[in-house]
Amino acid sequence: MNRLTVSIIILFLLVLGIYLQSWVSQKAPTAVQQTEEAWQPNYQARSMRSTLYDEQGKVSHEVFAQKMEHYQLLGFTLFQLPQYTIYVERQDQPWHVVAKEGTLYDDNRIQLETDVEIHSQTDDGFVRRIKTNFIEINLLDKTLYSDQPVEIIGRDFVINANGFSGNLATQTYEFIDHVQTRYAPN
Amino acid sequence: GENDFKQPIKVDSKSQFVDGKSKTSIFREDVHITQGSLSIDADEVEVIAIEGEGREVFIARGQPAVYGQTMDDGSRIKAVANEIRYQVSNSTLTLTGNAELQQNSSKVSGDSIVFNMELEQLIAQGTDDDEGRVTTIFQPDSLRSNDKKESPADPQPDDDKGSQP
Repeated sequence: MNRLTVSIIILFLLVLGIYLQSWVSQKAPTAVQQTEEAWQPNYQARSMRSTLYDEQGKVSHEVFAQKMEHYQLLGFTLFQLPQYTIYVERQDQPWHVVAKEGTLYDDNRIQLETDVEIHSQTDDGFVRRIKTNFIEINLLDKTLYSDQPVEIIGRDFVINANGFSGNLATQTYEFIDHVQTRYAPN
Repeated sequence: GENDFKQPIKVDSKSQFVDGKSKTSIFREDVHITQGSLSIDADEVEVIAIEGEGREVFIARGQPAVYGQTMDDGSRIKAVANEIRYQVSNSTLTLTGNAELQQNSSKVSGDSIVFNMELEQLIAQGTDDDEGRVTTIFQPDSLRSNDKKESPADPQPDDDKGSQP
C-alpha cells in the first residue's frame, strides 16, 4: 500500500463526505414536510352538527360540537365540547353524551375525555347516568368501554367501579373491578 | 336493630353484572352486603329491582351464606344457609338449605326458616327430612328472654325474682 493508493483513498473519502452530507439532508426535509401537512386539519368547523344514518336509513347518531377539526391523513376528527345523541333500537330512547373533548376515528369509534356524562332520555330506564373521565363508544354497535373510575347512577342505586364495559342497545354493563354499589333506603 | 332499615344498603364485591332490561344485577366473588348493623356475606348475590326503590330482593348464595345483625336489645343474631333471601319491602329473611338461625343461646335449624328482622320474630320453619317435624332447640334462660320480648308491657318475671328471699 504505497503512498499513491493511500492518497487516492483519502481523496475518495473526502469526496464521499461532501456528497453524503448533501444526500442525507436532501431526503430529510421532504419527510418532515409530509408529516407537517398531516397535522394541518383538512377542514375545520364551528358549532357544527352532523347526523349519521345506518343501512336501514334510521338515524344512528348525531353530533353537535363547538369546534371540529378533521385530519384526513391521520384518520380522525377532534371535537371541542361534543354533544352526541346515540339512538338505540327504540328510536324514542336515545342517549345524550357530553364531554370536554372527543376524538372520532374512521371506524366510528369515539373516545371522549374529561367530564364525560351519558344521560338516558327515558324516565323508566334502569341506568340513568354514567359519569367518567374517559370512555370509548363504538357508534355502530353502541358498545362502550372505560378503564377509568366510573359512576353509574340508576333510579335507586349508585355503582362505583374502576373501568367497565357495556352495551347501550342491550343495556348490559359489566364491572370487573367493582368498588361498591349503594341502594338508597325507601 | 330497627333503624338499620332506614340506612342505604351497600354491596361490595369483586365484580358486578347489570342487566338494565330485566332490572337485575349479579355480584360475584367476596360479596359483602351491609345495612347498618345488618351484614350478609356470600359468594354470589343476585339483586332483583323490578319493583323499584325499597322493594328489592337480595338473593345471597354461598357455602354457606352468612347473615348477622345486632338486635334492639343489643344481642347479636346469626344465621347460615345455602341461600339467604332478603326481601327489603318487609324486612324478611328467608333461609333455605341447611338453614340455622342462632340468637343468644337459642338455635333453630331446618331446611327453610323465615325470619322477620324488624319484628325480630321467627315466622315459619320447616324441615322435610323427618316428615316436616320441626327441630327447635331452646335453652331454658332464652325462653324467659323471649317471653319478655313478646309482651314487654306486662309485669316481668324478673319482678318476682326480685321479691324472692
